[in-house]
This record gives sequence, structure tokens and C-alpha cells, in this order.
Amino acid sequence: MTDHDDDHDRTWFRAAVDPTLDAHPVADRWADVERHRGQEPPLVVSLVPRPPRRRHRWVLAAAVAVVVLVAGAVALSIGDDGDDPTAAPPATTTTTFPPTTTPSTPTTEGPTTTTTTTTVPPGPLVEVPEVQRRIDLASFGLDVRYLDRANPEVAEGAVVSQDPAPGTEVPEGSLVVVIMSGGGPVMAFEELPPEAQAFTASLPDYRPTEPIRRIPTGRGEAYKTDAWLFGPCPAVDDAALTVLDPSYDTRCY
Amino acid sequence: MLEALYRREHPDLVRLAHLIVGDGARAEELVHDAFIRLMPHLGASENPGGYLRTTVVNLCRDDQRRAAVARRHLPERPVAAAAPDLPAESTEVWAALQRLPARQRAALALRYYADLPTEEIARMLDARPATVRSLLHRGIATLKEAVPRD
Repeated sequence: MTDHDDDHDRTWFRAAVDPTLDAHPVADRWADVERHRGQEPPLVVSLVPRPPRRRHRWVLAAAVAVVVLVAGAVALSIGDDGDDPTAAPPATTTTTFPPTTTPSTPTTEGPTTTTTTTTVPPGPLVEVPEVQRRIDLASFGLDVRYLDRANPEVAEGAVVSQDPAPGTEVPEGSLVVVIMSGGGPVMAFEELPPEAQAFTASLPDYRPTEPIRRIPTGRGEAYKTDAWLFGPCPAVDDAALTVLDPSYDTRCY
Repeated sequence: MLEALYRREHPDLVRLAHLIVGDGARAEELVHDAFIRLMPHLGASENPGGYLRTTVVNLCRDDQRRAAVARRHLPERPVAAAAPDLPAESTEVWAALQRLPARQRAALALRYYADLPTEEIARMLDARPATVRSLLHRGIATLKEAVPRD
């Protein structure tokens, strides 16, 4: 297709459809959108970062452990030299995120000892959504990678599994690996049924791109090219050939 | 920011969705839904216009799949009626457009109405660029066949 043809087709297409589109003026529904400001999106899994919750448990546990260890070490060192048992203790603060002041934990029966424990503010957590198709999750704070793996039992392009699992809370920017089915075993164009070969030959300017996938179905085999799916006809038992357009429209021949 | 985005993108998005789903009222609903989905991510999205367009196309395709399931139980695929007092060519082409497979229709709308490059359309439709060119070629040929001959 040349640029000239493309421009010509564009002009022709717009001239043909514009009158119909113009006959349906677009209503201004800005006020409706305003009403949803700040609300969760409907119908989809929540992808909005949630406020921090359980994630501080391990931080607090680590902080307590640090306090115990440091206090023990200080107590030992004081016990060893014993030169100045009245030395002033260091100041006490425990910083968490969001910033709150927490009293230090009493530790030993020795001299009163306090420590300073500062935790690095972790990034916001996001809930891993259930990925149902190949979409970009970057704007939701997740780095998602799709891996295609041959899988004759799952339709090509469908999600086989994901890691972490849906609903898991992970730090923003975490990697989410989604295994996509690459379909069944591959085959050459010459291995297509003659009807399918004849059909593709009848199309101007189109040849299927290999590899072609062989996909078992409940009623026989289907063959998936880059643009067409040939297989058993769901509506006509004795049809020689079924062409399933990628848009899921079905034609039986 | 959102209002400016809405004022700028909404009309074209509705026309794009109208081309794909063939129903102006349904197109408005889908575009409206896309804006609502964008709201929580408005500050984080570097290209909210692109996000909206992708969302609209995905919503249209989901809608078409649901419609395809419904059509299996109907003897004839319903074609949205064109407005009266339109040129015969527009009416026929519009009807032919609605009979096209949804993916062909989406490819035509994205290429010839949204002026997106083939590679971008391929990404949005999860297809190869060669597939998109094939969809365009077949789609425009089918539409031209629908033009009444004098």
C-alpha cells in the first residue's frame, strides 16, 4: 500500500462516514465526569495504591530486634570497662513512615539505654491486579513483563499464570511476570488443509505469516495464522471450513 | 487539567468509538467510562490522551465481543440505522462498515480517523503491522464495494 493510496483511502473514508457522525452531535457530559472525581474506577480491579497497612509489621519487628541487640552490646561494653557507669545515655527517637514517635522498648535491667532507629520510608504499596490480557500496567506503578510460552491447552494470547498472584500487595515499581499462551505446536503453510490454503490464496495482498499454530479443540483441530483461525464450524456440522476472524465473527463454508 | 483534557479529547474519542461500535449513544457511554477509569491515574499518566484512546479502543472491543455473543442468538446482525437525509453513499457505506468484522472496523477508524501509524494500531489491537495492513486493505475494499453504482 503506497502513501498515495493511503491518503486517498483516508480522504474517501472520512468523506463517507463524516455525514453520519455529524448527524449525531456529541453531548457535553463534563458535569457527569466531575461527579466521579476522586472515586474508584468502576468494574475493574482496584489498581489504586492503598495507604500503608500491614507492611510495618516486619519493620517494627526488625526495630525491636535492633534495640535488643544494641542494648545488649552496650550493656556488655559497660560491664567490661565499668569506668563511667553514670555516662549520659544518647537521645531516643524512633522514626517510622509516616513519621510518628514511638517510645523505645525497655530492654535490660542494666543501665537505662536508648537507641536511635530510623527506617527508610518504603514506597507506596500497590495491589497486583488480575491481568486478563496484554495491557500496560506502567501507569499503575507496576513493571509488567509478558512471556509467551507454547501451551496447546490454552488459547493463544490468553493468560496462563502471573506472579505475584492477583491481590498481592507489592511495592510500587515491582516486577509482575505474566505468562501468556503462545498457542499449540507450529506448522507450515503447506500443512494447512487445502480449503484453508485456497481461502488465503483468494485474498489479495495477504499471505499468512508463519509460524501457524495447531490448536486442539473439542471438535477437532483449529489452525491459527496471524490473521485468521481455521477450524471446526460451531454452527454447521458438515462445513468443510470455518474461518474465524480475529474479531470473533465466524463464517462457515 | 482534566477539564482541558476532556474538552480537547472527548468529541474525537466519541466519534472514534462511534465508528467502531456503530452506535452514538453507546460510544458516549464507553468514552465516559474511559474518562472515569482515567481519573485515579490522571497525575501518574504521562500521556493521558494516549491512555484514553487505548482505553476507549479496548472498551469498544470488549463491547463488540459481548455484542458478538448476543448476535449468535439473533438471525440477523442488527445494523444501526443511519440518520435520515444522508447521501445514499454515506448510508450504504455506513451500513457496510457495521457489517465488517470488529477488528477491521477498529483498524479503519484508528488509521483513517485517528491518523495513527500502523505500528501503533498493531500494538493497540495486539496484532502484527502486516495484519493491520491486511485488515485495512480488506476493510476499505469491502466498503468501496458498497458504494451504489450509477
